[in-house]
Amino acid sequence: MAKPPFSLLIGKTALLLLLLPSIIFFLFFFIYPITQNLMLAFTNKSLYHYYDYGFVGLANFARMFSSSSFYTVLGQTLLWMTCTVSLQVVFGLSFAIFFTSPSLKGGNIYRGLLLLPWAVPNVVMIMILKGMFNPTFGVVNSILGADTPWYTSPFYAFLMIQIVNIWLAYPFLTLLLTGAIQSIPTEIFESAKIWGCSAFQQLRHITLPLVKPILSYGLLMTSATAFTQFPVIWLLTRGGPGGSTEVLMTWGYKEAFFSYNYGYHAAIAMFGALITIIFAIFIIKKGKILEMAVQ
Amino acid sequence: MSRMKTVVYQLIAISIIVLIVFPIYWTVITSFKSPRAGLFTTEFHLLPTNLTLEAYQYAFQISPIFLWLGNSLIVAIPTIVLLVFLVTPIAYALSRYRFFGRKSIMIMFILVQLLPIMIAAWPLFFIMKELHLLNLWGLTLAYIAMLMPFQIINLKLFFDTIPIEMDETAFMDGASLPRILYRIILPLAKPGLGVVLILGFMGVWNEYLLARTLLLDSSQYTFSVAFGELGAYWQTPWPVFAVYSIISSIPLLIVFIYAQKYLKKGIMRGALK
Repeated sequence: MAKPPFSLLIGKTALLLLLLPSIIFFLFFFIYPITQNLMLAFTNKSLYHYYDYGFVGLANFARMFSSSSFYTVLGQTLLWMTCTVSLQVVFGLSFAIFFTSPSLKGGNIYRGLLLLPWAVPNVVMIMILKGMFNPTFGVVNSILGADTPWYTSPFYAFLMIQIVNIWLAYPFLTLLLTGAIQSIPTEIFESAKIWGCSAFQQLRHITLPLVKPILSYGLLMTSATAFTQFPVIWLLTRGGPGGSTEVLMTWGYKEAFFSYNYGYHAAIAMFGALITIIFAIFIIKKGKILEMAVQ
Repeated sequence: MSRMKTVVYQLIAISIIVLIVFPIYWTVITSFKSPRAGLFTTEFHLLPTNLTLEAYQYAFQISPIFLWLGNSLIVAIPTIVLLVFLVTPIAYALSRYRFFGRKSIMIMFILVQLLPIMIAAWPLFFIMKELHLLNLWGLTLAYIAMLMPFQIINLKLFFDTIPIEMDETAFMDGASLPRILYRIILPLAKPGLGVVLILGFMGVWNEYLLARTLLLDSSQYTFSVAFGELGAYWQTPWPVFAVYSIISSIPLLIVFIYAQKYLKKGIMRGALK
């Protein structure tokens, strides 16, 4: 902006009045709890040391890294994340490409219907889908005509959380990529057609390269969300059967919710947050989006 | 050939939509079944037989669904109202002023959105306990803080699209700052404000973890928490559960229908720009 900045016209007091209420609120109810968590991670606060807890250094982290279930859970979290993110990209991208295709009449109506999963509250939908997968009275088994053990077999339980999460999560990437595809000027496709490009060539050489920056942003966002996913897994399987769908966040939550090991829980939550910060650094490196928002 | 192609495209589109809508369709159908027969019936009919309103009667007469919904509204409405009041001034300042630390503040607001909410859940529990706020009001405060970062950036990006000459002209004409902000800029930023309200409402309506952690008394449960508890034990007949689902979806559905045009344009701006 080359003009004389507006801030010269209105004084510093006004600026402070604009900023302070929200900053103070945010510091107190967002930043302060996080610093509290940071401190808790180095203490032995638990049910037995509720008031008289003290500093224990890195003991919580040592306990975490020496626990064998930590590595199992971490592996399962990565597996869960990889599967759900790939599925979301496959569905999000193919829905976005298919429903913006000029050969499809009424694409607008379909695109509206595609967002329907967002019109139902998450928890409600998770519980409905859980009921539909119920091995004894669920509709999925009666359609399949089989006794698939969705709740008790580790493989099928994993399949179930993947299906449910896809249903809940695909609209984000679909919406993001639909917007990206629609912002490509149609002239590009028209001239490609004149030059004799097949539909596949257009997809490979025009659509995909042009949506790539937005796709990589969406990829990082979905990965970070998947890595710290809690409600879907918690409500569907509680990490079961036999801990086979346990992920970092459900594992950590149990430490606080059932075992009252608040210090240990804080250390696990910290670890999860640190990983998301790594995702965040990648987002900064990818740059563009952040640059434009911050300008 | 091209006619064939059109038909194939339509068929694919319809089958995708059918798969997506099926759980919702199934819930509606189930809600019209009798709660006494419903829980353990395993036969599958695409079209319902023996429609009854028994489940609705049951849900309206003896269930606490309206208590839970009321609790959710008690949280959602103050959250979005206070959110607008807290978010507007800072978004305006970030858009219009150039001051030291401005970029760092914005980068922080963008990055903290990625942090798992779990990192704040138990500390918030201890803080709210100290403040005697382990109730719906405490939850409201936590939700506002949780929703602020995204909404600040989102609204800031909307303010950016309004030419600064608007403010300057008004200022030259002697308008005060609150007047410029609330009478001139905010009306122009209506779509942005719409997104704040809609996504704020959706955020509250969908949130589970904080509500589960901060609400101790079952009479204070928001419906998210209540649903999680119901579904963990399956003591509720399935048709009644379906009725609960439908009733609790109605507020979100209303917001959603109203929000469609914003969702298509607005979020793109907030998320992508």
